[in-house]
Amino acid sequence: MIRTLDITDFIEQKKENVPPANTVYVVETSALSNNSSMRADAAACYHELFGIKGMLIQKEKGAIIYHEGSDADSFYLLKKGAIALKRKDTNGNMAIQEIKPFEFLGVESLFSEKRMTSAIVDSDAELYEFKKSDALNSITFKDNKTLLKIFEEFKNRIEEGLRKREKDVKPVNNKLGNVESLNKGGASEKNRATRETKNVPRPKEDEKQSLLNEHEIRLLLSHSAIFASIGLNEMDKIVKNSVLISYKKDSEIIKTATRGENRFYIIKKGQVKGIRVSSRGNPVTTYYEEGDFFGEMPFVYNVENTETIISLTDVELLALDKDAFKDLYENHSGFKKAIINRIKEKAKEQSEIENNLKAAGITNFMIENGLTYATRLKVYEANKCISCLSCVKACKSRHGTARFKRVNIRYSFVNVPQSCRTCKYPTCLSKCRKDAIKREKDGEIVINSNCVGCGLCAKSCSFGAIEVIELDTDSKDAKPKRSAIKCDHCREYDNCACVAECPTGAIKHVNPETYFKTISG
Amino acid sequence: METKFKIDLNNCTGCGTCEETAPVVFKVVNEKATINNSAINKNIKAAIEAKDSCPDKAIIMV
Repeated sequence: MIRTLDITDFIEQKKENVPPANTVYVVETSALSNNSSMRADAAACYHELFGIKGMLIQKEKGAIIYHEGSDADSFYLLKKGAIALKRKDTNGNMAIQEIKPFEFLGVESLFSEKRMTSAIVDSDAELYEFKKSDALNSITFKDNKTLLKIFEEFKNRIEEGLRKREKDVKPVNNKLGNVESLNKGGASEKNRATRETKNVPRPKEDEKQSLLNEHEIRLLLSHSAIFASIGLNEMDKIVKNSVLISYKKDSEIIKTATRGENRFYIIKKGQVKGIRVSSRGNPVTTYYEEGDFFGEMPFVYNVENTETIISLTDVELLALDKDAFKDLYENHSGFKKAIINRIKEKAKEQSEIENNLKAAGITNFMIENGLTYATRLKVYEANKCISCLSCVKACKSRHGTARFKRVNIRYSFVNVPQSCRTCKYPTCLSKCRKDAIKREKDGEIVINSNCVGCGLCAKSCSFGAIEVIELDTDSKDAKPKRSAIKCDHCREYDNCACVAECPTGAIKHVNPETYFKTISG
Repeated sequence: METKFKIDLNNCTGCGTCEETAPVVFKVVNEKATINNSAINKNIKAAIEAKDSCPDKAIIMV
């Protein structure tokens, strides 16, 4: 049977049965109970799950199902009994996680070659064994991305369950930690340990190292245009060897003509700009988005960095040290290909910018004014605008207050009014204590009615797009209610008031990247 | 002379602007601001800035 596996396979069945308190996953228990009525000595008893046949096996107490580091070729569903997952943590202690009936174990086999834990039977257990090859053959995945997405969800749910359980069973799990948390960023933990013992000076103030969520990184890599083609083994290596570093906005990460800190960076979140001097002596600025990399020059060509890298927003970076990069670069052709292709592309982009003054000017303009991380930009074109102000009037009549100002920054005939740009990395969301400003599913940032008008979001917006106003109240005695307002691109209406009312079609909502590309020609 | 503040609980909306400005002195608990009066004198500058920054004028000097 061939069909696409989707997330409903994992969650739908939960509704049919009332799960035991700590169960993370429940599959058809009716099928299981039918099987339990079969003779215990039955050599093989099958159970179907997601279209894969699983074989019932019985293990006695003390039996080992698989060892840490052994080849992973199957995953299991526990039907009865209890199993302990053991794993050596960085201090050499054994970490224990208990598996209860109706939970999966060994799911890591689907995305890695080796086992991450050892499974030992605690009390006589019956479990279904599902072969990895069956799973991969019977389920059609469009590509790795789908698989990774599903397991991302899967892991999240398991982690949630573990967290809940951790609260209940503190004595065991608190001390030893669970397997999930140990898997995160082994490399960074090691680094921290060595730093503490050797008293190595701490990193710069704006640099903060923290634990990695490896599935997040797998997702990031598989979504990025550059690393999507590399194999799972390479991804695994990147995940294992990288350290997460975060920088604040406007901090210098790499200085030109130095080797930096001998690190290769992949951008996990945020944007950076790179400034280099062209062959004619002019500075050329480009920007890199998430999923891109920089700092490869010292390793690939054995020369100093040719670019100064400065963060445009708060950034999170995955840093690989020299040895890890060399290992990946020399031993994995997929990774090498990806890097070389991107370097060629970069060189092409840069030479284009160098030779086209207009394009260079536009890129500079976008970087300086933070348009590179804007997604919905209001612009009006001065060659069409007749300054009738009908856009402002329309906005005012629809919302009570004009939600944008025509004081502007401009490039050539393109004027950008002061209005919300729906940033990719917004700074306005985190400060609110009332949860009143939120990003909705369609990407738009919206202010809810529970806003008290403290203005913290307005202060943190670097573009002055949010304003605090006093709302009209009916009774005169009550103190006036305040609220923050911002342009939400007329989310509740069919059209945008300003765009619809403009007689000449001068005002537009655009995606800045594509729009500026078209005007640069 | 020691400076002391009090909070007008009717006006306070618990927005957290004071805590943002002077985290040592102010803390928002259950959607209302609370004051650590003993810490004011050491952080007088930040405390007064926080008092002025309150959008509801709910911080009053006693």
